[in-house]
This record gives sequence, C-alpha cells and structure tokens, in this order.
Amino acid sequence: MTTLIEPETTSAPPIHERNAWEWIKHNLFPNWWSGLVTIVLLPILLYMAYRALRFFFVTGQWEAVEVNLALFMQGTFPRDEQWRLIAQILTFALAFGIGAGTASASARDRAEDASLAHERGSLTDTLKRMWSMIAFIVLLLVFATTHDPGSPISPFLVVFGAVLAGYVGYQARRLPRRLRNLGWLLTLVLLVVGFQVVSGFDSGGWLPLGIILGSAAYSVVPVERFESRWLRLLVRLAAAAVVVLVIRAVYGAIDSTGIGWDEWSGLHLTLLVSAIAIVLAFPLGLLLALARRSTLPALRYMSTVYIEVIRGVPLITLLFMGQFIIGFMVPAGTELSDVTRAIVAMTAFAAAYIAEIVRGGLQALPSGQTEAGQALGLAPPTIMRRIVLPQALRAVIPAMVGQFISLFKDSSLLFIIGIVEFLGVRRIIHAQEAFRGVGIAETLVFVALGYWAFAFAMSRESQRLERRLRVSR
Amino acid sequence: MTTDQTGQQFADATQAKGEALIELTDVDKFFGDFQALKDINMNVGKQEVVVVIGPSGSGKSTLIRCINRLEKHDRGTILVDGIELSEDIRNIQEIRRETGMVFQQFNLFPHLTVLDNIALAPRQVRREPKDEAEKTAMELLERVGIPEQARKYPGQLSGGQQQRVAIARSLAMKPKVMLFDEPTSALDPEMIKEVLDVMVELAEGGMTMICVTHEMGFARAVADRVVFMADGQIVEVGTPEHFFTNPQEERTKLFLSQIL
Ligand SMILES: Nc1ncnc2c1ncn2[C@@H]1O[C@H](COP(=O)(O)OP(=O)(O)OP(=O)(O)O)[C@@H](O)[C@H]1O
Ligand SMILES: [Mg+2]
Repeated sequence: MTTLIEPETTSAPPIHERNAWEWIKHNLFPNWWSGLVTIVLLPILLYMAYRALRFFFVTGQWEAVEVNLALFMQGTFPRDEQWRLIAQILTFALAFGIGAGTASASARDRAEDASLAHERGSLTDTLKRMWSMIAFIVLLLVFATTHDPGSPISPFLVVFGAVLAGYVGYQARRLPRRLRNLGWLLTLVLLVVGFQVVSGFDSGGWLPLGIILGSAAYSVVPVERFESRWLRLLVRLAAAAVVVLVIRAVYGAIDSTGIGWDEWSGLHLTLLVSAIAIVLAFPLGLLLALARRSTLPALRYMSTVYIEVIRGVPLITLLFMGQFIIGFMVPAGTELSDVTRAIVAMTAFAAAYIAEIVRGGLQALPSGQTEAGQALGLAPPTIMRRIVLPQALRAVIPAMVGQFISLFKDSSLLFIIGIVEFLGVRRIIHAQEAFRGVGIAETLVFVALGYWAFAFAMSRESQRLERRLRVSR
Repeated sequence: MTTDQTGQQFADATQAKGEALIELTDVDKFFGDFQALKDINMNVGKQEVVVVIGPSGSGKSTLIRCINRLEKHDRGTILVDGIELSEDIRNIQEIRRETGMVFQQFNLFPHLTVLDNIALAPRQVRREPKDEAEKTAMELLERVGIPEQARKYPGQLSGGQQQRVAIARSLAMKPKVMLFDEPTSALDPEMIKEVLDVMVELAEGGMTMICVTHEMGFARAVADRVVFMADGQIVEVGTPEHFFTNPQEERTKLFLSQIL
C-alpha cells in the first residue's frame, strides 16, 4: 500500500530580513572580546586576501601552467592518440550520468514508498556539491584560451560534449523501475569500455567485463524454486561462467591496439590509478575485516598480521618494495608494468586501513541486530550480508571516504618512484629551458588546486550520501 | 530453601497439561563463575501460555534465550518439539525456525522497510518467492493492525507499532512457540495496550507462548501458568489465581507486594 508524499501544509516561518549592518553586528561584533578578535584579525585577513589576489591576477607567472596545460592533463601520453582520452572522457561522462540518473530515481522511489519527503536532486544541488570541480574545469578553460597550443580539438568542445553525454545518461532516470538494474549494469560496462578505449580492446581486457556481466548473470538467473542450495549455486555459477566465456571469445576476436599503462601520465593517470586502487581496496579491506573477526584462528591471525604489518609501514616503502618484490611473487615471465605494481602497492596499503574502519563499524552495531537475525533462523552468512554489513558500512561512510581521499592524494608519491603523475609533471616542466626556476610557485598552486577540487567534491558527495542513507535509519 | 524442596513441592505444577512442546531438564547456565540458571526444570505444553516473572537479574531473559540458543546452556537438556538442542548448527537453525522471539528493544532492522523486515526470513530461509513472502507479510501486518505502515522504515514508527512489527516478523516464520522478553517494558504506557492486545489475540488463537512480563493483567487474562524466578532458580509455579490469591513462598509474596 503506497502512501504518497504529503503536501507541505505548513507555511514557512516569516524570515527576518537582516540588513548588512545587522549582519556585521551579529557576526563580527556580538560582544566586546569577539569584537576585539575581529579588529585584530580582519586587517590580517584582508592583507592576506590582497596578496593572494595580487598573486593570482598580477604577479603570478602563469605561462608555466598555460603552456603546459596539456602536459598537466595527459602528461607524456602520445599526442596523436589524444582522441582516445577524449573518447574516454565522453564515455565516463555518459556512464556517470546513467549511474547518477538511476540512483536518484531509485532513491526517489524508496522515499515515496516510505512517504518520506524526498530531497529532489536539483541542478543547484549538484552544482553545490560539484562546484570545486566545476571551478577547476573553468580554470582549465581559461588557461586553455590564454594560450592556444594549437590542439586539433577545442577543449570547449570536449567539456560541452561531456556535459551533453552526462545529461543524456542522466535521462536513464526515466527508465521504468524494473530496468533500473540494467542502468547500473550499463554504467559498469561503460566504465570498463571507457577504460579500454585508451588501453585497447586486446584479449586481456575480457576479465573485468566478464566479471561484471558474469555476476549480473549470476544474480539474475531465477533459481528460487530449487530446493537444494548446491543446485542453486551450481546453476548460477554455470550461467556466470557461460557469460564470461562468451566475453572471452568476443574479446579474442577483437584485436585492437591501445596505449599501455606505462604511457599514461598526468592528471589522467592520477585519477585512474586512484580510482582503481579505491575500487580494489574496498572489497579487499572488507574481506580482511571479516577475516579478522572470523572464528577460524588461522584466518584471524593472518588478517591481523597483515593489517598490523601494513599499517606500520609508510606507503612510500611499499611503493618501492612493489617495484622490486612483486616481481618475485608472480609467475616467471609475467611482465608487470610499473603502474600496475604501484596500484598493487596502493591497494594493499589502503585495504589495511579500510579493514580497520569496517571493523569499527562492525563493532559498533548493537548485538541485538545479530540476535534478531539468529532468532529468525537466518544463516550466519545471510545475517552478515543482509543485516550487519549494510548497517556497518553506512556507519563508516565518512571515515571510509576520508581514507579514499587520502589515497587519492597519496598517489602523488608515485612520482618518487619515477611515474609521471599530476604532481610529477612539474618536474618535466621545470626541466624545460623556458621554465627552469620560473613559475615554480604557480605550478605548485595549480596542482594543489587540482587535488583540492577533486578531494573536496568527494567529501561533499560523501556528506550527501550520509544524509540520504540516514533517512532509512 | 533448597532447590530440591522447591522442585518437589511444585513437581505437579511444573508439568505441562498436555503434550510437552518444550522440555527443560536440570538446566544450568554460567557466565564465567556466576551461575545465572540453577537446575531449571520446566515443561511447556502445546498451546500453553507461561508467564515468567521475577526480580531483575533473576535469569528470566537467560532462561528464554537458552531455549533458542542465543545463550548456550552448560548442563542439562533442552528439547524443543522433540529436537534436542546440541552443538550442531543445523539442529540449532531448525529449533530457531520453530521458535519466534520478541525482544524488549524490538531489534527491528532499521535499514529495511517494515515489509522487508517481515519478508526477509521467509525469503532467505524458506526461499519463498518475493511476491508470496510480501503477501504473507501484508496479511501479518493486517493481523497486528498496521498494514498502512508497510513501506515505512522502523525509525518512522512509534514504539508500539515497532513492537507489533517485531511480532509480525517472528510470526512470518510460522513458529510453533513464541518467546517474549519483556515486550512492553520499553514502551510508553499508552502503547502497552496495543501490543498486549496482539499478544492476547495470539494466545487465544492457540499459540504456545513463554512471556517474560510484569503485566499482571495479561498474566491473569491468558496465562495457564505463572513461573516465579529468583537468583537463577524457579521458586514457585502455579496458576495465576494461585499466585494472586495464595502464593506460598515468602520471596514470591515479597515480590508480588512490590509490583502489584
Ligand atoms: N552476557 C552476560 N555476561 C555475564 N553475565 C550476564 C550476561 N547476561 C546476563 N548476565 C547475568 O546473569 C544474570 C541474569 O540475567 P538476566 O538478563 O537473565 O536477568 P533478567 O531476569 O532477565 O533481569 P531483567 O529483569 O533485568 O531483564 C544477571 O545477574 C546478569 O548480570
Ligand atoms: Mg531480562
């Protein structure tokens, strides 16, 4: 039985319009000592703002950034293969649009069902959350116009295309309810495709796509009627395996060239490496947390040792070790790129921290939840999957996103092991004749702004997620 | 007073009237060195309603939590519908499926809608298809009087409504016995009645029930027997009339004078 959202009947309380003078009085001089603080701090702040603005608009030598904008974005990536990056941007924009569209539609439906007032995903909301990223993109466009490197494709066109693709994807929210999962699936598939537009559709890329579509097949196969648990599992696994094999065959047929990991660099590399490490570290951390609470002593000890060892070692050592040690652990003859090794090290590092965060969430859950599940006769794995984890993970979203943000920023350490990521581009720039010792502060500020723009957007997004999930508590 | 004497004195009253659905024999339970249950002997017959009373810390919760193995008893045997509780997880699952439990703090799943709270176990344990499980869930919600709350989340409901959902959730597994652990103690006075009404209806419908509760009106109305516990032992067992008119033990008298 569905009750619709009740119309808002209460009229808003009258808002007392404050004039500027009242605002100043209320916020800056509420009492004598606050007033004193204001009087002391205000000139200092104004002076700092003046210096900052002067640096940005008058004294700053931004040519170092302007001339090398493309270098910052794509680093040493081959210029004549640039179309791949643009295709990737458009594919990702479409994927994110579809993902956001289906997610918001599902949230709307759930809220309506529970007759909760639904926070409508308005454009202003999105802008508020994403403003740091938008500001950064605008900054890029400004720099791009002041110095035209003669790029064949206008940056404006790319941004416009991405916005358009995102908008088109967002219309997936109009899909009927039953097709929503399809939207999610399409998002995932597009993410893989977007990735492979750059790295190439060679026969090695079938695995992620196979996993996605295979697990989709696994969960879709209707086996509810089978009595035997093993039969259900078997049929599902068989369906998943068939899908994986089909993908493998299709990929085997496609033979396309691509640009390998080691040629990726700049902001492009930073973003992708962080995203991949985050996506891999999350499930690994989850498994470690569960293992640490397992009743099997061997699992528990292994997980504990892993977590404590990793947490006691700086990331940079892991990165260096990754360059040397991982080689011993994989079968002889396997060639691992430096970037792959770095991703492995970053994932291994972050997983230990995520495991501890998840463990905190698991511990915080009242025991009555598990007991209620047990009393109903649910099997322990079901209790974990359906009752404990959903609640524990919700509780640790802020800490988890904090960990993701620091992993994103820590990716700047890759430049120490010789990978040219966003920060590392500066080294190339200042090795150029024209910029030796010129614009050092400017490039640094630019890189800092870039990191901040993404980190801040992540933090905003996590706040929204938290708010949205709190509704159902 | 020793356990032996009480045991003998109420030997007849500890026996269930009809066929026993739950049988506890010489059950002991320790928390470390502390003995929470001492030599518990108790039977509950089919369709019988047993109310357990006693001072705080006397082991009432521990007693009923041992029956569905939320606590593990250390000695003695517990039989539920002929199945003996053992270490075997399957055996435990089987017994848990036959017993429903309602907690003082409701323990609803806050991240699931009311309907999903109720349909979860039938779908996961009995593999009922979604629509079937939801249909049953709606029927149960009608039975406890709140079908209009089906799509809401527990946090949006009053305490009384939440406890009624919790009862419906237990009933969804079609248990043979219902265990209630102070189901109304966390409720505001005006909500107690709506929950008790549901419980009375359940009892009148022939459900076998063990209720830890201090609602004497409820005990008088539907209980077949009342069990008084103190310090982990069963001190006195009898019909409600026996308890309210003619309690034998000093401790019982003292306790009743405090709560009545
Ligand atoms: N997990 C535990 N660990 C240690 N001692 C416990 C535990 N659970 C209960 N106890 C102890 O066992 C005794 C009986 O507890 P129980 O919860 O069964 O009492 P109760 O009769 O239900 O009391 P109340 O009316 O307060 O709910 C108490 O002394 C309590 O302190
Ligand atoms: Mg208790």
